[in-house]
Amino acid sequence: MPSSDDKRLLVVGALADVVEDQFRQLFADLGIDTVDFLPGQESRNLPPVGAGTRYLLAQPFLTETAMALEERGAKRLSAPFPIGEQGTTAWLRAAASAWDINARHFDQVTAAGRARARQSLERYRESLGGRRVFFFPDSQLEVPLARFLHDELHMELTEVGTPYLHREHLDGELPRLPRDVVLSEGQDVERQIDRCFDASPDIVVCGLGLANPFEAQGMTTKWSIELLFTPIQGYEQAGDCAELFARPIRRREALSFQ
Amino acid sequence: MKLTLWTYEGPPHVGAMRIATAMKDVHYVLHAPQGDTYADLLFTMIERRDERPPVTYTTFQARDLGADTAQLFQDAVKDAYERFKPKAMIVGASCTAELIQDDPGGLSEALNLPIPVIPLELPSYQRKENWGASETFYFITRALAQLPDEAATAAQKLRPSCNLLGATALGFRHRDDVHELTGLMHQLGIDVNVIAPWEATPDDIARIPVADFNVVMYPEIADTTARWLKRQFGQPFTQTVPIGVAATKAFINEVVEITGVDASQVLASGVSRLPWYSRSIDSTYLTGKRVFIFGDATHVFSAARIAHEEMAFEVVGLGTYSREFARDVRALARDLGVEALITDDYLDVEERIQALQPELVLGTQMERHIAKRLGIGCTVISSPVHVQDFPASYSPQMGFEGANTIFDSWVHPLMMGLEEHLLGMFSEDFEFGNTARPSHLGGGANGHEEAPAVDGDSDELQWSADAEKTLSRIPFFVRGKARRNTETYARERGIQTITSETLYDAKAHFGR
Repeated sequence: MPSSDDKRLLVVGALADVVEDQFRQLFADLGIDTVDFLPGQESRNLPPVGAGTRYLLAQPFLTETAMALEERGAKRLSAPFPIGEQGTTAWLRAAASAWDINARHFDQVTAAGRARARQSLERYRESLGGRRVFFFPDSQLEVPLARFLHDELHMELTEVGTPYLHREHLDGELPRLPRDVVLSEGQDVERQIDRCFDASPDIVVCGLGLANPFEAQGMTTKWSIELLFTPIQGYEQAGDCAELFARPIRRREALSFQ
Repeated sequence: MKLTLWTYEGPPHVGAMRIATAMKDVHYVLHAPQGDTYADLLFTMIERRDERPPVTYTTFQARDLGADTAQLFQDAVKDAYERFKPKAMIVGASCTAELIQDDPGGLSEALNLPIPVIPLELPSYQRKENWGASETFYFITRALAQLPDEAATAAQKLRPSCNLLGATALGFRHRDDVHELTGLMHQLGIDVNVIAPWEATPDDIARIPVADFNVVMYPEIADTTARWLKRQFGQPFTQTVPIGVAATKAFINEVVEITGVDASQVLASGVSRLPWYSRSIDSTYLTGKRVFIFGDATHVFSAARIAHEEMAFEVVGLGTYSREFARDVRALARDLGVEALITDDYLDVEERIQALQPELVLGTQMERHIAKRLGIGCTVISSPVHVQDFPASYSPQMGFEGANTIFDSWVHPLMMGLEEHLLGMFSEDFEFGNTARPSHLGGGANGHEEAPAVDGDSDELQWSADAEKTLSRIPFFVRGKARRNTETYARERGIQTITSETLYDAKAHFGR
């Protein structure tokens, strides 16, 4: 990895090409023209990193990567993760502030994307609003997703389990969760299953090892690994992210064998 | 009359052949010109039958037309009787022979054969194969069925009994459906008195009225006969075709109502895996898959219901070539909010499929060809079918095991949920590149590109380079839909050049 002390923005975390294209365009429109993505689309072209590097995390499970970058002098920009209209806006704004981008210009550049994200989420608020969700620990995406489901789709959080709670990397997320949220880290799975049945949520987000057994007992589930495979970041994907939670509920309601 | 390369149904005498070939000890003498003997290979090749169909063709030639074709016919009937020693014969004319008006019925009656000889009246130019099969079964039953004597009726009283009516040669999975329903009846404590026409002898047909009720397996074939049996002998018949989980349950309940048997154990044992397979999480990706359905009325009805309720697909179009059931199919389409396509022209079907761009086609042999050409997955659900749809393995459509077969065979041409994601993630990879053909549809690089929108004049619309690039980022299995939606959105708003923004605006507008 080459070294450089120039002021550069580094986006850290594997993103789908289509998402990377969108973010590149937004940063260019904002006026931030030295932007790198790690990993980039080509593994041979590693971006330069040094004291001028400011980085945004695009995924919440990059502890080791972040440490290596910090060792080279890079500084993390504190932000929530770019999930949902609000998460994406706050994430972009963290970079805009570091580059002293004028607030009105920021609003102009992001207005169309924000409007589209709000429009696509609107229809899901009807089917998901007020529904209760329970997270089992799996991908570490649980906290940003819980924040998105609560803030932007008005879902109720019963328990948010996550395998590892990196309080620093989640400093943009945790303050946005409702004050009385039940957060759990790691966990005894048997006791968590008991709590889940007691809570009887409308949808359970869990790993593939639990999902089918839960379905067989009448629970509706969303397998969490799909949230990692699917492009869910950014304005244009906000609706796709909501769809992943709405579809299992819709399916259960649609099926009939009578 | 319209010339065509291919038809869903043959002329009515092919339907009569399907009945004769399904039965035992029956022979069919068909007054037909030489060329009509081609029909034998439908049975020997496509259904892999190891015996020639029990059909004698008079095979008159052009030069015979001036001479005595009536004598030719009588000789053929006499020879067939002596050679094959059938217990009953059916006689009729093919479409070409109908024109010479030789009266096969009268001519064979004059021969005074010691067996029943049943004349068929099958007007070839107004009707088609399934109707011909239905009429033939009806004529045979009417001629042979006998009022049961008291001894037979008394013997029958021990357990309720039924007849399974409608299975023929060349039918879609008839062999296995008969086996499945026979098993179901045994589980319910009901005897199967006669299966017909499938492997039935004329003596079996005579015994049909002994049973307590009739099961109409395929209304196209057995409805007319069952109605006559009800009028003549007071035998009730079932209305539900037991294809799919819900339909099988409804069928069992109908049987319970007729016979009073206790079906609680059969219903409680949850014998189909379809409901769980459909609920389990890998099936989430099936939700809302766009499906087009075409075939005979029986299978289209069942498939539409299963697709909608048991798989949670979106039925985007359906139709049938069974004109006799057009009204019912139109009503079904209305219930599902789509327009029914009633046609026997496969080019109409192809046009509809192309316009609708479904993700799965459920159809006949012809829809399989159409779907293959368009790069769309397809499962065959109805006759007419080709040789691969007479599988060696047990593959019924009816009953609980039939529902298992249906789940597997419908899901097979689709991609699994995880597979869709992998294709999206590796879209830059040479194997999964944007121009690569989906591997499950035959594979190979640089196959089809998604079909352009067919409605409207797409020449006015320009796609900018950045919009094309964004479109290429969208996985191939939704790209066609994205292109269509974007163009519709642009047209509605008078946009002439589509940019990336237009594409995203359309996405937000239409949702997923």
